[in-house]
Amino acid sequence: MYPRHKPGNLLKPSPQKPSREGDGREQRTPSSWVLSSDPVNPAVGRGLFMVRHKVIRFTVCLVAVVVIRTAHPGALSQVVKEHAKPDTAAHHSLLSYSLDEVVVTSSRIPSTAGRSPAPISLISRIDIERSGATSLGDILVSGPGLFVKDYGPASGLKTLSQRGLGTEHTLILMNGMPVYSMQNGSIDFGAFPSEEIDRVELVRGGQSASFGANAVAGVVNVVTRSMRNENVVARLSTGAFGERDVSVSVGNDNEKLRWRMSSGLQKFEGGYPFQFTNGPVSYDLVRTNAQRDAWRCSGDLEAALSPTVRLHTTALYLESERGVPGIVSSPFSSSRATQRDQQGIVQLGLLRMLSLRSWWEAKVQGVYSYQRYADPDIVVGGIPIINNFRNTEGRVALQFHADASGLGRYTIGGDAVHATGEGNAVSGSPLREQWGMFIAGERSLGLAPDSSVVVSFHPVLRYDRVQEIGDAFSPQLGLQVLLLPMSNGGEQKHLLRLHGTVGRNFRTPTFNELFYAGGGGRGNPHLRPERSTAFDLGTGITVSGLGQHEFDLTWFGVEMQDRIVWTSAGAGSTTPKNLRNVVVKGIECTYAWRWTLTGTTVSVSYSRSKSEKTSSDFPGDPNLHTIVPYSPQELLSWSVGWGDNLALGPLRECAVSLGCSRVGFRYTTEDNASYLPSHTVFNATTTVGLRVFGTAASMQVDIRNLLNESYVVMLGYPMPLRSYRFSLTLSY
Amino acid sequence: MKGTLGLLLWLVWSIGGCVKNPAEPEPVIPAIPAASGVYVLNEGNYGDVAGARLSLYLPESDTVYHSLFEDANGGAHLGSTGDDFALFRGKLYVLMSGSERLVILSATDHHLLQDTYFPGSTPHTMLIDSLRNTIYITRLYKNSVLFVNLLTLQVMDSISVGHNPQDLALANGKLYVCNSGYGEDNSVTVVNPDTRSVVSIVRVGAGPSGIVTGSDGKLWVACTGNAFGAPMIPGRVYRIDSGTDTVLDSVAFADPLSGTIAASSEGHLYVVGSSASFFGGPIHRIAVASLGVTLNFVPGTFYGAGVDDATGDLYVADAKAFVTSGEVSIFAHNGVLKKKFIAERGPSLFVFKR
Repeated sequence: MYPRHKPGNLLKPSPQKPSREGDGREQRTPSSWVLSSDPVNPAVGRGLFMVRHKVIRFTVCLVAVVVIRTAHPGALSQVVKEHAKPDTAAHHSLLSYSLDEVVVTSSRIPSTAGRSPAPISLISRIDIERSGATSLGDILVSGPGLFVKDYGPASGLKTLSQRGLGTEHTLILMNGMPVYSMQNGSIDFGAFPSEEIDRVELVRGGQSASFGANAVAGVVNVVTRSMRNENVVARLSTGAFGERDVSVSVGNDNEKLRWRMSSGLQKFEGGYPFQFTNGPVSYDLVRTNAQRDAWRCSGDLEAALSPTVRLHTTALYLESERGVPGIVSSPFSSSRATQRDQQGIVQLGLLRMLSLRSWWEAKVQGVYSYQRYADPDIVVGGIPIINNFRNTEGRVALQFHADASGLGRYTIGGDAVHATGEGNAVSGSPLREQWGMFIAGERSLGLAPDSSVVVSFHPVLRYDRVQEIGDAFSPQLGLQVLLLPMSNGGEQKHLLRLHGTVGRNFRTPTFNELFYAGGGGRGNPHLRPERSTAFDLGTGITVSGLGQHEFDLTWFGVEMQDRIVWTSAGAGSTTPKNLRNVVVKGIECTYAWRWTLTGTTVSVSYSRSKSEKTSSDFPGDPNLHTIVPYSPQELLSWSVGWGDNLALGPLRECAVSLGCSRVGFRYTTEDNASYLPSHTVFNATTTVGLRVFGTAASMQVDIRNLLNESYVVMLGYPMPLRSYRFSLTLSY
Repeated sequence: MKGTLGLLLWLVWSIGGCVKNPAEPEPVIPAIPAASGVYVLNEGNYGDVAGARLSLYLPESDTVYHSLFEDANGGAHLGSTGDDFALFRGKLYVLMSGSERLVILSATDHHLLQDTYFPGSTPHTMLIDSLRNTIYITRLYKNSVLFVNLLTLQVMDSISVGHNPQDLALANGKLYVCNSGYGEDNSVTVVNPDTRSVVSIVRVGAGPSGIVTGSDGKLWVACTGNAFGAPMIPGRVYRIDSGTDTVLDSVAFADPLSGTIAASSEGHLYVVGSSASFFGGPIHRIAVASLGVTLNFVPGTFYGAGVDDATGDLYVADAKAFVTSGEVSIFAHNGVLKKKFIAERGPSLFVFKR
């Protein structure tokens, strides 16, 4: 029997081999780093290696640390406003503020979240701290319509599915610049520490007209942290399963210069308890080979070079080594696979104000990523599996914005990318060169003399040329109608908002899909981009009374053609093909209540969708009109938080937060014959702030999986039972 | 009060949700008559504990029974990826490579009798030696063969063989192990099971993956070739004399093979080819006496093949690319289709029950 599950086909972390078609698992691009330079004592050799390289890299980081976030006028004024309202729980005030005031950087036309035709959700620094999230993956669990595919805590891979589509269909930005991997089209959300994140902007719906490739289901923009009010912040965390985290940030913040440097270490020993069930029998087990060591450093600098010129630069370096425990399919499942990841991102931006209403900005970005996976237990032809890849990318972007008073606002720009790849499971030296140009506009019309009805049109058009892949036109039209004005502290807002967008989007094939040459498969250099049409239509209501209530209901749809699917290609091989059509339809509902007076916040997001395969992969395909695997039909998350100033001696503040995340059932097979049941997980966080001798101290206790639920998100990857973490933050 | 009630309702709804899990019908466990039939091992998807299933087809009544183990054992599952099984003295021995588990169940009522695990072993195929009360199990990624006590299921020994051993046969008092190396190896290791030592190595073609004893008493080895080699190496079937441990002759093919081979007592061999599908190919037939080949004896895409010696019927399994339940077709020895029945996910192997 020719084994179907050759090493390259294994659904457990398989060397750069995408999972079998349609099961929704990620393209694992595993690689490992055999750190053992000491054959007698691998642990010692590994430790020495890590120390030596950490010193070198920390030095490089110190030199390279200058991050400038390109800002535009609206954002600058908001920066001033944010500066006046510290948003970290370490401060004496835990008062939340309306994120509607924050101008998002994930929109080509400067806009607040509540004034964009596309539904945008913001997750603030306060939300992040109150949730107890340690990584971007933990943060996104609460995002509307987001399904975080979690393969395990700390060491486990975390990817994202938005609106029932794949992880490669959500564009990831950092400070407005794409940072997804050309190798597999995504990033590991679990590797991005929450300590480096100021806020997360979630744009739902296709945005290829603004950002080009891969913004099919939506955009996640991570805005990195800068220093506010503090000069030194130190944070120590310890928790269950040997979790330890230490980070230090230094910086300063004044009118002309704001800078921050930070470094952190994280250690997770793994060994978490879980339950394995086989029919009526359950086993209480401990997960092995689930350890993770991570190190990071970052820097951010924002400077006013002149009254009209601002410079912003950011650098971020992440390095980790982890065990890859593999699928649990028996009480004795074990794996010795390991993976090493390195990623460095450097951004440089310059903003020049030409007048009060026009400016241009230029950005440059460099990205380096490396991954190595090794599994000593998988030996093929006498050679153990060791797979690696390395990507480098250079990107430049330029845009010009003008506010032409009554004629509207316009932004025109373009970007170009040069990316290379190399690895022992890809053929040749993959190269990607692409460029794009866009024009975005906004034209508002007051249909009533008192501006009680305001209609705005948001047309965007983009052209992309991708070397050897093809080109793409991505038009989008957005519409927004504001009704029923209400005054809010002198600033006019509208109670009712209708919004909608319709546009064309596309995704380019990854290096894996084009050039894979490892076991069990072959890339297909003749792949075409995936194309899709997307729309969303929604209504938002903002009501003031006992705080501010914001409600939004959006109906959306996506129709995708030429979706790339790995399929059989003969002789024990698989290859990707533009094969499938998918239709997704659903609703997303969000509600947020912020009562500043009492420090109470409530947020709820609910989505219901159906992601359906609408074409045959082969003649007589019995799975036509089945639900795409690993697309939950229902997602719900909510959180309730309360925070207040106490002014009781050294005790200054207290905050409590309870959160819940429910994921509906999802099919695990193409024919929908098997499924993973729904699960609901509760988390709780308590924070106490003190001020002693001029130093602010914050103590936080997080309890994850409060009700000790045994569950899995991805088949074969159990999640831990109840766990805790204690954190102490000192800031001066 | 209202606020509290609303919050409680909200909490309850958040736990229960609006979309319920799919309703699972109450299992109806049929009474299986004692009759001759054929067991089908359905591999299931890798990593899915509930994926591998056992089916039983009774030709007399033209009835198929599925999920035999689950129905008899309160819903418990065999494990992940069933890669081999055998019927011996009224017991079914099922080897799960994903779960690294050997399950022994009664062939009468399919209740679990015994099981054991081989963690870290990647067990792939097995062979029961009644003479020595031993089960031989290949360890796919450990390049070795385990000697397991048939009664106690304790591991007695481990013998190193070639790369990625995939099939076993006993002949002339010797154990023959095919080492495929996924196309990178070309050896058949000959082991003395009494001394548990390697006595010789027989060189064949690239990727020896299946071995059977033909009607001529010789060993026949199906070599896959190497689809990824540069240049590509096509498949080949070798005939070995177990008395001298030498290659007598071979049959060449133009394309790689899948490695599955079955022998009939009336003088034919059936090998599964490879085609445009990862999951197998057409069935080719080789006449043992003349070495004549009938290509595409059964055209299609098949994952498994077996011969019922009592009737001479050829059973072939179509795994349907593992995206849905598979299908088994039954052909008479002259290639005429007799019957089809639906199996479960990934049918691959057959064991005939008398």
